[in-house]
Amino acid sequence: MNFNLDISQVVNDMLEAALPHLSKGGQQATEFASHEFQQYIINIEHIQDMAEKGKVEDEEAQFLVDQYKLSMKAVLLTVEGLGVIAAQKAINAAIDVLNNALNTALGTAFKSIKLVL
Amino acid sequence: MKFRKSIKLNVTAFSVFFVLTLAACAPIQLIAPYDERIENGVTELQKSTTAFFVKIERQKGSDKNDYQNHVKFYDESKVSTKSLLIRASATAQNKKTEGQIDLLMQKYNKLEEQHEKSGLKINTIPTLESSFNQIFRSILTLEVAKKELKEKKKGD
Repeated sequence: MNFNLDISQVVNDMLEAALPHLSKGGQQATEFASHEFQQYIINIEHIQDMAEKGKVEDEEAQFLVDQYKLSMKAVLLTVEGLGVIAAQKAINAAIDVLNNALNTALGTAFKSIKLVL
Repeated sequence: MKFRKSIKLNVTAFSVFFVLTLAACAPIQLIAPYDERIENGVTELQKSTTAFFVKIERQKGSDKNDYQNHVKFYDESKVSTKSLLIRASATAQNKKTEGQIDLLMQKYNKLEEQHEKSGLKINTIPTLESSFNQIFRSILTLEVAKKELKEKKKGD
């Protein structure tokens, strides 16, 4: 029986398959987070400005800030989730490569078996 | 004869080993799958919340005496959010979406509390609407990203 599996080649292929997913997922999470953080800063500044000019009372300003705090917590959960999705894609891409390598090796091994002696 | 038996046993052991190895290499799932009802439910909430803010802006704000005219909006929003929360919590590995919907519920509670206590001034409406849009966008971004996972699986 001839079972050929080049472990180091498989590991390299697995890494090659996984990395683009991590990189793309990281980029997506970064873009989303930076846009939302910028928006948060602009809105907090606007609330501060309204409070300073007396357009809203302190209690109202605090209420508006609290509303943004809740939204920002949801933003952070999305960023975490996008990271988890990227990790899942990367791991599964690596597993696909491993499965293909094992299937190929398994096929070769069985072809070389002489079942009739 | 003995030799044949030994070969047969080796092939069987080899096959069992590979079946087990391949089973161990099954795709993993770290996050709950895409849920169309969450996406649609959140989209509906976004529409009704926007409609609420448009109405408040059109009537130039809403004081605490006007609060009673908007109780229906709060009731319906909270019922829908609670349903989505229960649905999200019933799915395994869905803590992030569940957490986000729980935050949305807190936002509705605080909005209603403020409306009932002090009313909603017209100049605060764009800020409030923007903060609600931010949470809707966050929930939908995560759900749409899950949808891409599902579509990739189908493509495979």
